Amino acid sequence: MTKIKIKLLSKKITYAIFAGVLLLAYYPNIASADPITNRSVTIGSSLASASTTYNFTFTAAQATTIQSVSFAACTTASGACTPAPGFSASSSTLAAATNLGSGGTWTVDTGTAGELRMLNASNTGSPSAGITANFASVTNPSATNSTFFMRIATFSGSDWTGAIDTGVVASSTAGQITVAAAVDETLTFTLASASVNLGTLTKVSTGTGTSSMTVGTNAESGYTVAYSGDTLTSGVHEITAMGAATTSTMNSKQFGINLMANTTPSVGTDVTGTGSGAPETDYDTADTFKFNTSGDVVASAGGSTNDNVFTTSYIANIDSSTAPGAYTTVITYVATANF
Amino acid sequence: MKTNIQKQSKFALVRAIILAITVSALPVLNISPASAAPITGRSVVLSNSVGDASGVSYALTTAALPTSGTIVKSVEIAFCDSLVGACSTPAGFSASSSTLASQPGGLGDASGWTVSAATAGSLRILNASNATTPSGAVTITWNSVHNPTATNTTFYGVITTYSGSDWTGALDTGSVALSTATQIQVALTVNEALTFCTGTSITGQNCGTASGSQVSLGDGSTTATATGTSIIAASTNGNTGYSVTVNGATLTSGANTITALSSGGASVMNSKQFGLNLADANTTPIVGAAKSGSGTAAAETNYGTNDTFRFATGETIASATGPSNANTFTVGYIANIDGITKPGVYTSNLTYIATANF
Repeated sequence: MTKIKIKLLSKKITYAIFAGVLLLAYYPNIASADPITNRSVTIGSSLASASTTYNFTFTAAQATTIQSVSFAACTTASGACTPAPGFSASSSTLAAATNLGSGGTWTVDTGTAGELRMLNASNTGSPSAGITANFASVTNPSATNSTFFMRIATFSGSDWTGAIDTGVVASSTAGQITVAAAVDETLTFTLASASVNLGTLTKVSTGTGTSSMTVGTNAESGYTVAYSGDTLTSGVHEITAMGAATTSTMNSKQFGINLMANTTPSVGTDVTGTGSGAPETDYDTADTFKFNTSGDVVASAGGSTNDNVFTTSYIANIDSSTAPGAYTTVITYVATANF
Repeated sequence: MKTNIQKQSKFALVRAIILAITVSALPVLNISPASAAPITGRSVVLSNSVGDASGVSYALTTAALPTSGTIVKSVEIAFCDSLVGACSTPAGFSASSSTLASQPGGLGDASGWTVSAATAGSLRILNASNATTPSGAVTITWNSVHNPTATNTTFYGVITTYSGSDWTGALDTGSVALSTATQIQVALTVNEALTFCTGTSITGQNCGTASGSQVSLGDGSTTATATGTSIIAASTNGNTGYSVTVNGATLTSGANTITALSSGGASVMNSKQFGLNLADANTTPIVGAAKSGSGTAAAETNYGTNDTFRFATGETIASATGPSNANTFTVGYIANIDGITKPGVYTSNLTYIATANF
């Protein structure tokens, strides 16, 4: 009876040892896996669920030839790996792999959605410091502002067996920040003065005066500035408007304007400012003046423009027959932006 | 007859041997003289209860000795497995390297006391010159004692004071119980960690409270700078810290853009500008806030200068060079437009990426 018990006990011990040996054979290097150092992962986008790049850098602890590497995305750094929800390596590609040894070519394996894998059955030699493994088209975990862990493991076999070194890096998704600013339609149009005094006219001098206006817009097609109004009038008397662009001639009835720096007479200033606005034809020649009682466009910009300051020069001449009186006119300028 | 005599002789011999053994065993049994008075208020405090530990301090404290009229010249604590029967020194216990931590108190003279390490099983001190009767509480501390080997095992100390400096002439006695104990090892695994979040609101450094993703700069103007803020929080135990990059395009509306301050610069109204920084006290314009948290991370130079704004995709805006507790950074955004900035809603989707380096 005792003999039988001893035999049974012997068998049990033998089986236990055998099972232990099998276990060690299946995980031959678990006990000897060394920590990977200087490890990091830089992801191309931290946006949840984004398809992006995963660039790993690390240094292997052991000189053993590496023939495969895995990078498992887990919700925890240790213990059984629960795949990070949403993470997918199924479409991953391998963009670069360096310092892993020599020989053969490293290729990606997309067979496991939860981990990035690469292999090179022909790799020889020892890894050097600063291994890089760059993957593209990796899908981020789906949770925003959430930490996940990439568990790195190197293997001596090209089939992810024979673990050599291991290491963990933590990474995180983050919310995307959208910065928004509204730019409204704008038209800047200001007139600096409301009245212009041309003084007392004589037939041997030209009455002059100026007004200025500032114009700018962000309208796609720019703007136009037009004027309207009558010529200088005093009761039933008037000073003839310069219907066609012409020079100032004393001892004649003339009323006209332009937007230039003139010398005859000396009046006005050329357009200033960083804008692209400019005087229109007939109003853009020094010493040439015009006034159309039907209205006319005097300045414009073909596109959006910063502000320009236009100086409108007014001239008036009279002859001997000009009836005395106070001659006035009201001129209205209208700026129109074209968005 | 001869046989009877022989039997009696043998019997006597046996009785003599038994008597001799009994008498000689008396010291070993620690049987105190009938006159020895009990010591009260006694305790021995061990500095380490781990079995087989060496370098342990044994601190004896008692109330004032009951025999106060006789000068004490030596003291002993004999350590035994049991208080019953002969004293057997606990296996592993040793006083052979014991030292006297300081001059004892309550034994008479305040100096002149020395240790005797000659008996491995007993802690001993003596002072042949002591000329003062004991008074007050007794304190004696021995250092460099080796604990018994067994763990979680009670052992006993028998304290005796003597009038002789050679541990003879017992005066007072008392015993204490002591015990070794298993050392408890508390273990904790700290895994790699990177906590990172973004939003328009984060309470303290708590990423669990992160919310919001839209930063409205309002309406652009040539005479005012549009501003807004978002928040970033990060921490890591990475050996060489972490870095945070900003990624995205400048403010864009269809084909129109507001020029990024790619080289950095001050905010200038009536010009096209988009930039950000993590500075703590911008005044032109007033935007942003100082970083908070106990971490060691800091804004990068290009993004940490007050009133200087910058935006270039992929650039690092903040980093820590070693493990860092959490910091919260406020990102201040500015946008300026000039007169020809096309109307529209300009947006920029910015992604912040934290990379920890373990």
